[in-house]
Amino acid sequence: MVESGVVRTLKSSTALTALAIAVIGLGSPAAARVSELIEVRVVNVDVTVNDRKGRPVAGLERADFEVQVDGKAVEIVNFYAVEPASSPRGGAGTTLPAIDTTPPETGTAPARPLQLAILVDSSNVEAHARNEALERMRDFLRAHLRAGAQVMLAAPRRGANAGTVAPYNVFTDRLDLVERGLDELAATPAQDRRLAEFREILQDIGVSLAASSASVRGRVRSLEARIRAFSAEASRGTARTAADLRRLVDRLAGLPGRKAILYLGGGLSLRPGEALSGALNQAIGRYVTQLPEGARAPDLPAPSPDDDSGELLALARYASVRGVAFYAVAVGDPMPGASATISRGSVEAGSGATPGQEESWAPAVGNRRQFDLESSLQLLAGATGGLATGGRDLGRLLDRLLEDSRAFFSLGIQPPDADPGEVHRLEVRIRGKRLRVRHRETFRAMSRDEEAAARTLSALWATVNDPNPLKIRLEAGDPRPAGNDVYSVPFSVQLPVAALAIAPRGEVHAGQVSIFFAARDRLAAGPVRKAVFPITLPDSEILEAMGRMADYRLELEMQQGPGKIAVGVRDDLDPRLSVHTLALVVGEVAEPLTPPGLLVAVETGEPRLAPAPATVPVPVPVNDPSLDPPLPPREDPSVSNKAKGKRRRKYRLPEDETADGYRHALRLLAGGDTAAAQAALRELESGAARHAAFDQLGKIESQVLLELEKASPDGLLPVALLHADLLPIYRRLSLAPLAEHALRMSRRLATSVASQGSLETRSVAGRVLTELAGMLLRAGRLGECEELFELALGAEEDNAVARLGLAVSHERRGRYEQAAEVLGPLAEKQPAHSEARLRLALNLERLDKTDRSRPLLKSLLKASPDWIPLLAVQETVRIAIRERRLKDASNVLAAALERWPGHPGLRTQQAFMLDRRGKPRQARDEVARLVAAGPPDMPSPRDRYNRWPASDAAQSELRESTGERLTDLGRALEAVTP
Amino acid sequence: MSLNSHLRGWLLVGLLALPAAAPLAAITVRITEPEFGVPVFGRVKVVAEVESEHQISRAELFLDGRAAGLLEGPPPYRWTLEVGEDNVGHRFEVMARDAAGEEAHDVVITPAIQVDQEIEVELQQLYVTVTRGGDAARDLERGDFTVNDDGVRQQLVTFERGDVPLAALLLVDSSDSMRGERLRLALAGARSFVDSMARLDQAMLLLFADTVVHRAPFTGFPGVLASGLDGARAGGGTALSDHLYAALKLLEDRQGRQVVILLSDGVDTTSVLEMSDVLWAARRSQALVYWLRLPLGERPGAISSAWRDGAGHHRELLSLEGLVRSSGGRIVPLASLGDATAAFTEILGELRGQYVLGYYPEPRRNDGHWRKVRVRAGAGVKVRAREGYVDF
Repeated sequence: MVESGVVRTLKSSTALTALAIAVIGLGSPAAARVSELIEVRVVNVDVTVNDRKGRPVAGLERADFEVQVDGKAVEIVNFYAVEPASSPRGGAGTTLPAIDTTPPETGTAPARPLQLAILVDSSNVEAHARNEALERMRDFLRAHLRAGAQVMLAAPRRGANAGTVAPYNVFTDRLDLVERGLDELAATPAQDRRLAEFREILQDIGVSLAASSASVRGRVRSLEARIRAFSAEASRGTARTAADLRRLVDRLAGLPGRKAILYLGGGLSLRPGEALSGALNQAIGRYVTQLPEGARAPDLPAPSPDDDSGELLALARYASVRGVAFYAVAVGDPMPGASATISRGSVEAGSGATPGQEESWAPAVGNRRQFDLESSLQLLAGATGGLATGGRDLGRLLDRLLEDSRAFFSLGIQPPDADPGEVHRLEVRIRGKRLRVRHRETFRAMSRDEEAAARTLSALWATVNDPNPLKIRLEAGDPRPAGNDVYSVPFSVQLPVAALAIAPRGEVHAGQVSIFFAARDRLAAGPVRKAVFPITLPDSEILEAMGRMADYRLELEMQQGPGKIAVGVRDDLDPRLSVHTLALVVGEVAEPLTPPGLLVAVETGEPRLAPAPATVPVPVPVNDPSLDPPLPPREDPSVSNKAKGKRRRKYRLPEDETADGYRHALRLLAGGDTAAAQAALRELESGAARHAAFDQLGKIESQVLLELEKASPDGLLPVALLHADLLPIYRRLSLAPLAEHALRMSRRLATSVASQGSLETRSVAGRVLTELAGMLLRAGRLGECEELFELALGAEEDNAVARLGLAVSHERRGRYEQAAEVLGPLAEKQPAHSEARLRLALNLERLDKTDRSRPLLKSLLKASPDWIPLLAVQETVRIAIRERRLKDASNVLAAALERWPGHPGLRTQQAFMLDRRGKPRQARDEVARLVAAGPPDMPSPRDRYNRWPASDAAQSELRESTGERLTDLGRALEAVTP
Repeated sequence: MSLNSHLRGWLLVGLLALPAAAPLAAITVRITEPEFGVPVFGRVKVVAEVESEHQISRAELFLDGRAAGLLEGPPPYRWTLEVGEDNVGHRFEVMARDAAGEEAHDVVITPAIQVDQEIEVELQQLYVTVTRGGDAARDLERGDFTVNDDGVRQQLVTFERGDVPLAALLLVDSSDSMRGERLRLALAGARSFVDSMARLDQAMLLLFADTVVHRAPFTGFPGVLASGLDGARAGGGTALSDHLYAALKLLEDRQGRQVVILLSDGVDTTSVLEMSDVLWAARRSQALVYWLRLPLGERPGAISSAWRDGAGHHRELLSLEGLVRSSGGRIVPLASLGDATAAFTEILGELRGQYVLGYYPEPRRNDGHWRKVRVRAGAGVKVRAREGYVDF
């Protein structure tokens, strides 16, 4: 019996479509599970072991290793050692390991094939430094690349093709192909725009801060904005490179052997604005110390918000669970040519720096920059069992890569409860020996579908030497033009029915195959698709069927030109997988393929489709971007081919819908459902963030609010708090632009209510402003926070929290006089406010106004809460020791230690005081007791003094007061609803 | 002369020690005190840890082959013995038995201090690092060195190269700025130091934030140092001065060469002591202080606190730099925490290559004044040693 029919039609987002037809599918679907399958899954962990001098270690045995999964020991079920036949240091004659499928017999085995993808990143590096590294790479490959090892050279594309990786060859062992790629790469310009920008900003910092103080504040603001823009752009660059690396991981994931990615570039920036912010801080610090007394100093800039650690950590985990190790080195100078000097000498208002007095800050800035560019690489290497060398030493890294691939131990473990999809932590130790081990830190038990998909995808990019247990064959039909240089390419997958596991079930025999397929052409590399074909054979026909071929037909749309199809067929009853590929040139082509060998020619021994080999091929430059076109956007399959290549127009939010969405969130808020309102607003603003449409979003929201303000100014108060509450959420999620938007909106609204609302509402608005100011204080944005504290005090003079916050900010800037001025009225009006009195006392002490500070401190020794008298004691003792009144210090401490016997601060002082009194042994005993005691029950009072003095009670009260205005908001919404 | 100062005056070289016995099958015993390879005198506490699947019924202590104490019932097992003040080695053995009749034992040997290397307490010792063209110069002889103490040239009476046992205190900043991966990398570096220590070396690990986050006792066993680290989490302010002071004090009664290795960016936000206080203590300490200096990258714009402004923090950092320099240690700038392991190893190598010079300071005044010391070792080399000491 032969049945045929359409089994499944797949719509691809890549413009690749597939039509799967079971020609001999014997296609009655199985009604039930036909067989119970018990599978033993083994996870292989490759472990590199070095001695204390970094040399590879041989001769270890299974019993020497201990493997823990999620902290629990697991049994090693397979073990073999790969040991180099020659010099472990990669001397002459040492080669990258070739493919060798000989099974291990006695616990040692020849090296497994190394699959190496090299990503050359031309950003953050100057062309000469990159090319020098490429030459070293060339020497290395000439010395060590031999048949069997496979290398792919790739580079990120930028500009119009950003988001894709240009392969300069597929995985190959042909040195000539790789060398040609190296030549092409060396000829491409380096994308060192960011280096130049970094250099310029750095130089401008030095110049600006040496100029007259009258304009310095404005210049600092301008520099801060430039640093932020630089940081955001660099952060996007890191994200793009991370995406490129992820694509390479995908291409490697399904290959056999040791898999590694070598990153060669200037480094990836984790916190790109950090070095420049630090330089600006440093410059301001020096500038301030040279200001005449009373001159106003510029604000210190806020820390740069961009941080890409999370993204790179996710990439490291992605690679780790797929068994791909990162090797990385940052080449070149992190800030070439920067004249990193800062003027020294007396800078007076209205005058410049004294010429000739300059001090280099290059080491500090350079260190920060280098730290930033290299820590990402350390992160990637550390989590995947690879290596990242400091000191920009490519030679050392290549030696280690070679050693690692030639000498390692492969441990097979059966992880407990290995649910597919769940990531497990892995730790390997060596019993009783002082050796260093490297291995991937995590693994994930992949589902059978994932394994098949990974191997199929990798086959698109590498030559696969699959044993083909199912004996599958691929055959191509004639491509048919489908318009716009697109062809429909039919092909069939054939396999003998006898190769399949078919189990008896009642009066029939049943089985099932799953076919995984993917393709790449000149414009797209598609995702892997899966088609499932149940097989049902009447018992009477089983013998006859065993002599026949099953034939599954599929069809794909591919662009004209060279391409490749990869197919994986899995017998679902006896899960064996065969992966096969078909290289082809689609459609009529006019000119010769020069140079030969790239993409198509390296994959020999497979059939090609029309045109026939005699057809004149198309010239394909080795670095032609079309060889690896953009991966299609995953979320927008509707984009047509015509739209490709067009410049993206600036996105505009749909105004009415956005305004409605905002009103909807406000209605939820007015109804008392704050959580729902937050969720709705987050959704709305996140949507705008995806298109960077903040300005437009702000305008639309402001328009809605303007209407509401006319109806009821007091109704804006809960809206201000709604935006303010989103600020910490966005910060926690590292959504810096959204956090800034939330800050702008809440600040604008609260300021508006504070100036135009009713008398009662103004004070509540002042407290909202106080809360915002507190967030800025925590973020170190002292200038901004002081401005908001001042506004809050303008709305409510007796706002004690704002007054304390303002004082803390002054203290952090060393403005003790201003701090005391702010605190004085509070301590006077509220004598019971012990924190105000403590801060006032300490600031007066700093100002040497001891006649006022000492009595205040003394009065606080019995105050509450505990952290206040504790600090009063500590400061009293400090003063007494400084003034050599050791007896006084001793008395105060003795009394305090009776009340807080284990407090570490007091014990430290006690020890120091004993030391000063000539009792070093008693001091030592005191320290020993202190260290042995461990952490105290109460938080550090000195840490508390550093912090923003907000309290849960105050926040709760604020929400209650604001909640009373929800009715106003509801009324206003009703009034403005059309 | 106190006992402690007496002990500090001994030079320990090449002590003999025997390996501990392997545990028996199902029951295990480990003597955690006294420490293996460390001479003991007077009252000695003996602590044994015993583990078994079955109920543990008894443990017996033998001192130098003689029964010294029997404890019946379950753990803990602790004894306090008087071993006398004689400079002799001792053998501590604990035999334990469980309810299944299984037995196990552990042995710790504590050696004698070799009498021919006993040195008078007044002897002033200098640990001297010498480099030539950036590399360690290890080929110098006694005659190559000159030592000036308070302006007076001194007569060297002892001269050693290399392995004087270490007592190292690894002081690792575990405050907010070290969260997550950063702490892991820092601890990996510390572990590498301990892994590479020689047999008689000892180290203590102290993780600190605004208070002690984690501590491991002085030990020569990497496993002991690593135990409990999994639960250590970074967080909180940084009380660097307080804990650097504590480190110096904890080293005071340790034998051998005292070394503090500090891993931190140096920014202190919550200490009750100031760096000038610690400098006071450091000048009275024998310890070399090394500072693995992390970049300030984690705190741009935030190097200020309510306790001191940016300039104040800068002054504290300069004081710390001065303290390190005057102790004879040095600052090792780290570009990233990934370099911590290499830096720890580098310091250990440097310590191994140091010269130890001993002399009787003349004239001795014992008046608590600061004696400036200057060491020279001929042309073409750079010499680093502590800059002086308090004469008390």
